[in-house]
Amino acid sequence: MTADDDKLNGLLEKLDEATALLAKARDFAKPGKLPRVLDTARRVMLHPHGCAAMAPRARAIEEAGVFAGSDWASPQILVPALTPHSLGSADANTVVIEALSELRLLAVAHGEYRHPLISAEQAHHYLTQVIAINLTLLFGPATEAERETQGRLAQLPRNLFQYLTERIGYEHVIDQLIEEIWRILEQRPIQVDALKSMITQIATCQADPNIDLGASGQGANRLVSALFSPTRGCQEDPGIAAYRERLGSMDPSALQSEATGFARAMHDTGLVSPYHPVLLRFLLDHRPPADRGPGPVRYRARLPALLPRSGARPDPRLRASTHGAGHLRPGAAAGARHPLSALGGAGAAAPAWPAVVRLVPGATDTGLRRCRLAPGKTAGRRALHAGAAAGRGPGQQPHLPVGPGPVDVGLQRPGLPAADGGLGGAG
Amino acid sequence: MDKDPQKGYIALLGWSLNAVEAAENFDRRYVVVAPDWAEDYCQKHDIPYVSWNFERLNDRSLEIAETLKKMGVNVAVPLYEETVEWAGAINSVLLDNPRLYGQSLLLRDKALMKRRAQLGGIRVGIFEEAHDKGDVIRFLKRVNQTLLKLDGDPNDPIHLKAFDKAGCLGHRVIRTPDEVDSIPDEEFPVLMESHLDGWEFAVEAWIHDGKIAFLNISEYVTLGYSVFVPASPDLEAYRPQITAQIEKLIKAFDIDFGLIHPEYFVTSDGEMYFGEVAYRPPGFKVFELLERVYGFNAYQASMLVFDPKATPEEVATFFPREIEDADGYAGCFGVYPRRRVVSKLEIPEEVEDHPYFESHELTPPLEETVTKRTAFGTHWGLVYFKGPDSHQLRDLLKHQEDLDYYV
Repeated sequence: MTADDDKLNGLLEKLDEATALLAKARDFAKPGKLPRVLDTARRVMLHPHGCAAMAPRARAIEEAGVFAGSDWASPQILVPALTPHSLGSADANTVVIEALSELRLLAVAHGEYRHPLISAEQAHHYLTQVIAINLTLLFGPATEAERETQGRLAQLPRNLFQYLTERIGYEHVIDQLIEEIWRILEQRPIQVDALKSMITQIATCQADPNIDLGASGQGANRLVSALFSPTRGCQEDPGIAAYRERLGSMDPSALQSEATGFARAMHDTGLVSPYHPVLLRFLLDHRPPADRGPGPVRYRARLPALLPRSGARPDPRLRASTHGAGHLRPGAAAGARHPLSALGGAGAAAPAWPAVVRLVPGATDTGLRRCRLAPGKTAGRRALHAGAAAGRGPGQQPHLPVGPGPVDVGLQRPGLPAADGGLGGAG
Repeated sequence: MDKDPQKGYIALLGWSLNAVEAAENFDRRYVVVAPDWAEDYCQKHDIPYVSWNFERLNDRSLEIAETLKKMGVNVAVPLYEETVEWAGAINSVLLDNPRLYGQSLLLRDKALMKRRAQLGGIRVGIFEEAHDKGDVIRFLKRVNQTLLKLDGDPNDPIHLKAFDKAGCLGHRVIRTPDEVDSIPDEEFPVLMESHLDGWEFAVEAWIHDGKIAFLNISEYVTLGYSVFVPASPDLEAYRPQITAQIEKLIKAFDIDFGLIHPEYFVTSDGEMYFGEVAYRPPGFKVFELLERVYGFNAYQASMLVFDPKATPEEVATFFPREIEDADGYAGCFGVYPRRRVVSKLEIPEEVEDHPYFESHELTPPLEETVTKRTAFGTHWGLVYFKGPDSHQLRDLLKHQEDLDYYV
């Protein structure tokens, strides 16, 4: 048992005690016992596993009288559209009551709690609407505005929605989710970890035979394939090792088509597949002898970032930190074995921030690193566009690297977003 | 809870929601005697209630005793310092014992109280009444002369306290004659005491039939800031001496029943000095702290020992064993804003993440400018802690003084 679990258990013990005190109290004394319940509940739900631990207690908490005398006491009249306001409130108690209400409805929706005022179907419907309205809470950390008004509290609704969506099921909000992902990707964000984990969730839903998506989920395929199977060579998400092997048996035109496939996926979505750097490495290591002239040397000098073995050595600590493949696929763990399982391997094998290590040796904060890289990347993208435009032949797609084989891909490297994350950051 | 008509009928003097709740869950009939602002609330929640204005003193003051007597009430329990002499007066009628009124006056006036203690052979510091600033300066000089201080030596401070206020209200520390000017004239007369160096602590003792039924020692970490129960083993080591002191006090004040809340200093050579004693529940929510560690309700305990119909057996079974039955240490800290201008309440993260932290009852600030504290002012709210180690709890409470809760 870790210290973290210990802390959660300690808090839960306090919460149960406070709830029992509230339940026992006479009506006139309840207001005096309530703050302790709400405050402890807030601390529980700020814990990463807090909401899961809270859910089985939701019924006891409601029956103790937490909602008594408020609108939340009659769940049948609650309006989903109001939830973003209460969850975004600077008042901790408002946020906590709203969160507790959602958790209680979750228990109702799952039939664990027969509520006298609302049916399981109604509760389920209400929750899907609430999740759809608050989708932004599933994407990434708090915004500046939220941090300013809520501070640490801003994490609470995030924990809640992570849990709610897991329990209610992504399939119920998949269309809104896909729309939101595309909307965000349009802006070519630098931080895409949250988006990638959402896409992973969608892929899990699609692959799960127990989930009937029906007509929904259209438009997700492009997102999923951009991450897991952007080209013919990795169509069925074979895993990094298998893909590398496969590359060895390809002829130049097949490699060209692989490169084109990656580029297209990257430009369509702004996402980079973990297979992409595998191809790049392969191409560098297997240049035709004719190309081993001054060109590539110059290229090497410019881009030690791509060549961790011959250039700058990545910091082993950083490498270790990116090995946690879990961040790529949270939520997938509970599912059955699935083609995506290869992804974990892919993530772990990808280069670990070599460029970053070189640029900001002391920094360990991801945000900082990315910020420091951003200007260079922008410039790089412009260079890529210019280069592509210059080399574009008639009928070819815009923005695609063209020219004789692998070297050109290499030459375009400054613009490739893989320098950002190595694990598929956006360009 | 079902009320037992065979047991006493109790009047609670003063309004305390926690006391009402305790009475509601106790097997004795009760009635709340409180000012008329509590009437609506009591009607709404079905709380037995008699309206009484404790600030009005006139020929009709006997009425309340007669009203309660007619209702069949057996005893009145004071909940606040201001209702102690009312309880004495009412009980002298209800229990037909005129001496109880005199006793309550003794317990209300700090100068009388000290004198009585001194007569009873209890050690007290030097004290005197002051009627104006001149008295204070004279006392300060005399005390320091007695201590054989030379000119230029820093003075030993003296303490000024209102005669009849609870706890730290109106408590000032004076070190130099200049500081005397800061005392407003309307605060006089006051009680002046020499400063006692030592460890200050308080006791809550429930007395039934002239004997101690339960004795708790509350350890002050910093006076006016923090307290925890039960006391650390270092202080509990003095329990036999403390018990002997309380027995002296019971004898000196002729106390037969009720809850007393005296304060003592223990000096480094183990000598006990009496500070003061109150005949009411202690401040700083010590009752709540006791309930957290011992599980018994201290308000019910008071009602029990006041009740003339309570039997010794009932009293014996009600109370837990001292120290042994406590499941940890519970303490609280009174928060004062440290800055002159504050905009919001922010519980420090280190507090919130501490395993001992339980809850708080702080509210967001109502105004931005913090009024300067004169004397030992009133805190803005309490923060509660509980944990298994008394030393860790003590250090934690001490550390709170360096933290900003209001920023």
